[in-house]
Amino acid sequence: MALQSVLQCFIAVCLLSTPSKGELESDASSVIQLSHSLGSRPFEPRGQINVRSLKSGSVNIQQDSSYDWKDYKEAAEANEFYHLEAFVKYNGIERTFLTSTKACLLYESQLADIITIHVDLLGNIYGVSVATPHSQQCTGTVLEFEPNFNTTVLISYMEHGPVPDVAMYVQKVEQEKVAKERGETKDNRSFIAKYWMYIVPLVLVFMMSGASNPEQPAR
Amino acid sequence: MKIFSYSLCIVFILIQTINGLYEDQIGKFDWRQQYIGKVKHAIFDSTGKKIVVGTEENTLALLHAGTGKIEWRHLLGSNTKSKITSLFLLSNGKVASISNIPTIVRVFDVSSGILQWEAAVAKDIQPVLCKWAVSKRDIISVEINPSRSGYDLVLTEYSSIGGTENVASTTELPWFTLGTNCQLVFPHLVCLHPQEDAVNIVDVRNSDSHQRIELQHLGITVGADQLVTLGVTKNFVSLRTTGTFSLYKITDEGLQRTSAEWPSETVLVSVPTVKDAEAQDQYMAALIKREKNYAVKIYDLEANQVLEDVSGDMKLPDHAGEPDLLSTFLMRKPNGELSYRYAISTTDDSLHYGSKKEVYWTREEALTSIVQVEMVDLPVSSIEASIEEEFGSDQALGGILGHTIKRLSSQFRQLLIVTQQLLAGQISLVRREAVGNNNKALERDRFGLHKLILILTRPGKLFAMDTLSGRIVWQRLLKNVNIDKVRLYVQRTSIHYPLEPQCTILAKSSTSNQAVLFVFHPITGEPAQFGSEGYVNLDYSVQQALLLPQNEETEYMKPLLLLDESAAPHVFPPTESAINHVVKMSNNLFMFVADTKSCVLRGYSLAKSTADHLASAAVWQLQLCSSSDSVEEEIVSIVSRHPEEKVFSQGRVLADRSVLYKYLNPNMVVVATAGTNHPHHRGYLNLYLIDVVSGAVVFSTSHRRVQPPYHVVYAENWIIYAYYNEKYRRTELSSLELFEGQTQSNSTAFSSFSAPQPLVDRQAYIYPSHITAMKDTVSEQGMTAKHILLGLSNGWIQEMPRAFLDPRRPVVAAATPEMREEGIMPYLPELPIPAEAIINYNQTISNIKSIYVTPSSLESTALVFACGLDIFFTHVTPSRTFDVLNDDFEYGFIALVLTGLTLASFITKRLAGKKSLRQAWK
Repeated sequence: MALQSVLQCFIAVCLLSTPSKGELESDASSVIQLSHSLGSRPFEPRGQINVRSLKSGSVNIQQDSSYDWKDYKEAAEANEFYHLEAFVKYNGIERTFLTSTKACLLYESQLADIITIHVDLLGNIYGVSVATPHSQQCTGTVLEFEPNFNTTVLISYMEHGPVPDVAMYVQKVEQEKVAKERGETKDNRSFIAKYWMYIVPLVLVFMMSGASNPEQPAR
Repeated sequence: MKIFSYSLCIVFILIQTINGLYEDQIGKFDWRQQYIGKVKHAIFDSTGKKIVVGTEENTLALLHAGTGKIEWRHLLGSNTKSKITSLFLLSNGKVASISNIPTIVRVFDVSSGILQWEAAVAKDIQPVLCKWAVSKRDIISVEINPSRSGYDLVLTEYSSIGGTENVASTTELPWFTLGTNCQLVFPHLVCLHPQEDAVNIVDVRNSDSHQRIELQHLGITVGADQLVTLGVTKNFVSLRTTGTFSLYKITDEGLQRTSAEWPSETVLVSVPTVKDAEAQDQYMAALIKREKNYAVKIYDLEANQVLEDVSGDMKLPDHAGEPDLLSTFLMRKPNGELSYRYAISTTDDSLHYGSKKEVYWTREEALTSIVQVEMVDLPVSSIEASIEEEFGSDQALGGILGHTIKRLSSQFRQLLIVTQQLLAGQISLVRREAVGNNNKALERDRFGLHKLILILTRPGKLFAMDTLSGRIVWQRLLKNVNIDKVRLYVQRTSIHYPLEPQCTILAKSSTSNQAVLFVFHPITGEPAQFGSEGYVNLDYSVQQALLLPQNEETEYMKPLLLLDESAAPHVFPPTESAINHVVKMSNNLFMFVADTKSCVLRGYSLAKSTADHLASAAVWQLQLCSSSDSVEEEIVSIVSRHPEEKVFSQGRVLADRSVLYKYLNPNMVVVATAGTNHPHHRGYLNLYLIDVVSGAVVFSTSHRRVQPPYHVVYAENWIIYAYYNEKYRRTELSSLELFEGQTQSNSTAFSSFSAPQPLVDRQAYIYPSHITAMKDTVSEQGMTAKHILLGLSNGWIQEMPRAFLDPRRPVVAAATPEMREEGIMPYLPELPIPAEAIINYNQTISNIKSIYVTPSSLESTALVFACGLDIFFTHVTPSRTFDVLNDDFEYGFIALVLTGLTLASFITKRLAGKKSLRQAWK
């Protein structure tokens, strides 16, 4: 029924975030068993992701799409969900995650999906989610294609929270102090901003004098 | 020079945003009410004019018996575990209070409330039992500690004058077993183990004095599964079984039964404080439950009789619970008759004071344990209602004649209402009357500033309060509900006249695990036409509830969607229109549940629902916390955006006229988990931004070495959260802001399934005080600037502009004109607390627990309700009152000037005419 083709998908490991991979407190290899279902059909095995190291992010994926092109088309037309269940095993911990996307999005992207593995700072996998490239819309015009997944696997690391930047601020203030002592500061304010204290009294004086000497009536 | 320019820039920004309060505005739109908490100890002083009370909120206070006002009040420490265990009046006009965890003895002067001395009792081992008593000179503590051979009794005496400690003796208690209930009636310790049928009495000063008295000898027969409970009232102990109640006086020989007969319905007994010192232990007061009310009986113990002419009935209001504390005072009137006063604390946390005749005053202390607050609109006034009736109803009485009749009758009705109000003096011809007038009718004002505050409290009591005066409009005690988890939902507001407003409380039944709904009218407090007296028993337990949007078909009723234990959805009210409404929007309907302990979050879609059968299917599941043994982690808060929040601007205009679009994901929630890493005992806080429709984790961040309290505020596209930094020992505020970038992916509709990845700006700030509550201000259209309200541990509420917490404040760059144009300040690590930003000026609010904000109909003004031990209400105007005239606007002057100008123009016209005529004749 389904096209049975085991294919080695390309491995793409992106580091979504800035912290270096070395900041994870513990490293582990893990195996993620994937099973999927379209709409309310029973779950069928899809393949597995082998994570050799969470720290370095080296990943490979083996999978085959057990469903036919027609199945995807039907599910897309019925506006069903595509469910993906991930059974994760690492460090002796077993966790099951569930994630879904609209079947039509997957269908129209021609099975180009992105699987993200979320890892916290202690090295825990806390979520696996599937998505399609975000420019996708459900428009409904797709030619027939080979139902092979073109999967990108991302590992999303948790980031360190911001810290009040006192050192930088102190440095900035000191630099300014030094610059001031050297007399390097350039006054780049506008003319009025610079000399308002002279201009305002002048204007006032003019106004006062104008008011106190009313024009003599012409004879 | 640059620093000067910075400070100038900052000063200008401050001038724009800070709203101080003028002296004459004090109390104009704000009010504060002070409370003390549920009363656990109450003692009348020797004159009967003052009552010393100790409460569950760890507060010691002196109440004026005549008015119920607080004379003075002390919060004894802010540790939530700490409780006042005993309270004694000493003979020299002092009061001693003993708190536990840590054990501290404090002695105060009763009349002034000044602390005389305090002594912290350091304990090496936690005693099994600790009881306190007072003798003539000393404060005595009796502790029972485990020892090698069994249990030891340690007697410690503190001098009541100076607090000098004197450990008197240690005696062994070979008969003591764990679980024994002991009461100290100095110098005797009376102990009863629930499983034994004998009372042990020991003189704490003399170890050989142990006596064991069989219950049979005390005249009590105990059945097989009956329990005997031991109580103490001053110098008496009471023994209660299910059918009997008896009172004993303790002597060196043992227990001596008082010969007065106590009915088994006796709820509470108390030894009254008597005005003349000789008759001190002569009388006894008892509260006896009758069918509908209670009777207070006074017994003369010397004459062994009930003083029937003194005793009387007592009727507590319907919304009061069962009495659980009785304190009485006896005095002799000038004509020689005895009369009593009582102070009764009830299970609804209120304190009642009264005499034989009536209840004089009641303090509603439930307001110190507020669970949820909703501010609801009041109904329209009768004039507006008649206009609504004329235009709102679409019943056909067609034709010109029909409309004319309708118009005339409506105007006649309006005229009637106006004359009625004029006669009643409700319309004052003077324009500016003082706000806070108690007699104001409960109807909507023009600006929506007059609302009703619905308050749900921990003992299950519901209050409705007027925002103008803080007066309690109605109150109601919920019956037969488990009050651990209750939520209040406003299903229909008063705007949809003539449809009646409706609110619903979701709670658990007290007898089973199933859910109970209580449906009521928020303005009158009357139960609605549902179930029995408004209570609707559901045959399932609820794990999640959601208010859905309303429309005309549901008669503007917001249907309540309930998800039961098996994740099957239900709708309340279960009408056809509501179910059809749900089915119609079911394709876009998602719900999520979170287990705070296991950190499992699960999302459901209702897409498969039909009108006959509502169904849900799981679409995503995450498990956030670490499952390692050395780590303890749980969800501390889940915050979503205010459901009615409007975002005025889709993006921020930068100085180069390009737009940075905000990431406005309506389905995103903030989940904060906190844990402790056990090997080092280091706390950490993880913050996850989760799209609860698709289950995608939008962003996650972690803070190490931090401690509670954690507070999270989430509005528009930004999140601000507070935590205590363990390493630097300071409170920090972190700010995140999410942007889509310079282009917007989809400007008309947002789909969580094809959402863009946001850019996250972040910055952290040091806050120089301790935060106990945090909330953002809300306005009706979202145009007004957002301020953050910070409740501080010293009782202040600071209003902080969001601009101060902007994560885009640049660290390195100097104040450039571009930044000034965009309104960004240069980065300063420490946030200021200017005195003008304290919205409660000198009205300190003790122990602020939460702040609630509701928009008014004025775009500039938001209503703020803060609660803790005190409650406080005020208005805030984050962008100043740009849409109202000032209070001191001179209407008279303007009118005078206008009439003057008009007159002058007429006169000059006339004069000019005359002049031109004269010139024409020349």
